[in-house]
Amino acid sequence: MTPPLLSVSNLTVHFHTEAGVVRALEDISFSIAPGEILGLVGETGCGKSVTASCVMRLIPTPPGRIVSGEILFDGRDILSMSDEEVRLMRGRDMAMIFQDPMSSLNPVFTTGFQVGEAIVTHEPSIAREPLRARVLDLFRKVNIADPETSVNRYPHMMSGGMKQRVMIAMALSCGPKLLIADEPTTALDVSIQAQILTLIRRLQREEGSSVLLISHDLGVIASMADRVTVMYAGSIAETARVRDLFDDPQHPYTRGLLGAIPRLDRDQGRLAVIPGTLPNLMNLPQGCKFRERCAEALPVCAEKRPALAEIRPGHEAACHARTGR
Amino acid sequence: MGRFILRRFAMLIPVLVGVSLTAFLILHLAPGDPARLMAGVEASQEDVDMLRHKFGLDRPLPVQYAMFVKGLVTGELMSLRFESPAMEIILPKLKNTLILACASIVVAVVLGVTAGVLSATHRKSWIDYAATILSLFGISMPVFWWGLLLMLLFSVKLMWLPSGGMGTFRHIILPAVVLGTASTGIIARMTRSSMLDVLRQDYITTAAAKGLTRRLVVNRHALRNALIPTVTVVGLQFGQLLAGAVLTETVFTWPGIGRLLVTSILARDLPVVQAALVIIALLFVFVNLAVDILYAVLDPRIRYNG
Repeated sequence: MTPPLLSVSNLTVHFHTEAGVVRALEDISFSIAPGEILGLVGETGCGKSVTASCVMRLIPTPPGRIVSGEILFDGRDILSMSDEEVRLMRGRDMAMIFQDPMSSLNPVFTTGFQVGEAIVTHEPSIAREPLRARVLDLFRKVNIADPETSVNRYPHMMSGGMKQRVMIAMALSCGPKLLIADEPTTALDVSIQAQILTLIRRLQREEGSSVLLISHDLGVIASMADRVTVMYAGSIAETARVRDLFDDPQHPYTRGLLGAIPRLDRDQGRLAVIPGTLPNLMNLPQGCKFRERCAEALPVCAEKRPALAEIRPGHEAACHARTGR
Repeated sequence: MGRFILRRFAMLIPVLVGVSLTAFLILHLAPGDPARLMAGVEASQEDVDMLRHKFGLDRPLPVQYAMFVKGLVTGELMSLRFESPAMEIILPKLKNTLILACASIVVAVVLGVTAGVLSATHRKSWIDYAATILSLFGISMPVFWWGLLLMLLFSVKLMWLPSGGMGTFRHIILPAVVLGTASTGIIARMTRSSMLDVLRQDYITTAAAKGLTRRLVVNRHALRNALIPTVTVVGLQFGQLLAGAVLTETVFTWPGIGRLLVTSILARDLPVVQAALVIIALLFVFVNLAVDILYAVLDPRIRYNG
């Protein structure tokens, strides 16, 4: 088996706020193989974006603090790198696409300049003309209409979908091994969403890069990802191949999520709703974080936090009821 | 853009009418008889009447205003004190004041923006607190008192800089610093808050995620956006500097329009006072026009169409 491109082990991150310590991530572990798309799914506030920021080491410290854990990227430990090493890695080895293309591009620079800047940062000796050609090429690659004009346009002159294409062009500019897409379609119209996802998929195949796809939309994950990791309240609930997760979800939370998807192909009656709300990350309950909302809770769930355990090869869940402990 | 500038020039007309009317009416709203004030308490009634007639002060107000405007436009408005056209007295002094105001604004922008950026990027550190305290100190310090303190230290004790007058580069340092102190504080506060706001924006994260150095992220991506509100303040401050120049010029005996205003008021040289006020207002309007043009340069979202 090839070693993973990215492997995150036992990552714990706290945010120190005036109101108290927010336990944003607790003992997170997952990995992404070369060329693989891993979907990271969960509700708003479950720690998906924090995880992505940690991988890029873009967590503001303070207030954030990486308490423990290890992030290995291409065999190198990101958390022990110098700031300069991390900087050189950003954009070149791993790149990121953000949720809101409206606010992710700087309003005072042309889109062409902002894409070119990413290239110049990592290839300072590149001349004007080859740089322009590269940028035009990237614009074509992401299907931006009329690249020659578009490179001179400011972000406010473009639609949301076009801006997200610019962001993707920027992310791909240096041929990164890992692309982190943080809710890349959430802020877009539904018709545009499909275009952007298809584009990411196509480019991922062409470039052979790995993708960490963050979404709260299980539909997006199902159509894009090879494997899925489900997060709940800063912990990983379940990790499995997409088919396995959708066919045979193990964790009660995953089942709840799947049950809450409206379906047209069968009569569901009322949608199943997960009762209760997310626990307060500043004041987490003892034992399993999902216990208070779980119909299958055992006495042990109130005492011990369940660890991820393999249910079958490639399928892990953190649930006492499943692992029989 | 061209049409925008033209429109702004058209707006000058009502502004100038308002300012000239105000400047003109000050004379007539002020208590006492201008002719009597000019002639002095000892003068006889005939002398006062003669003066009043000589300067047209016995004619109806609208006629006097028309004469004043005509005098302004043709440049024939005469100073009462020097027997020469008011403009010939004002313009050289205006140049001196502009030199001082520009030097002050340079001091204020360089120090203020630097302090504001450092405050924002080192939020809640000792740099931030020091800059905040110094800014508030600068904003609250009375100009004449601050001027005298600096003069005492640098001219009297250390003897590094001249205490007054105009001539060499060394002459301008103290007045420019004193005049620019309050503006420095205000610009620093403004830059800090807009910078903090900009640093929270998503495109700053994007810039960092590209692998840009912190320096480029701050100086290129954040500063250009943060400067937009700062430019407004700089424009307004420039007007403040022209007004503040009255005190600074008096303290440092700088031969500018502020000191001319003070001496002209004391000497009841009313045409010069009125003309100087109109010129200062005109200048202020031009500075604000320049600010509006600068917006469009800094922010491509602002384009003045039609």
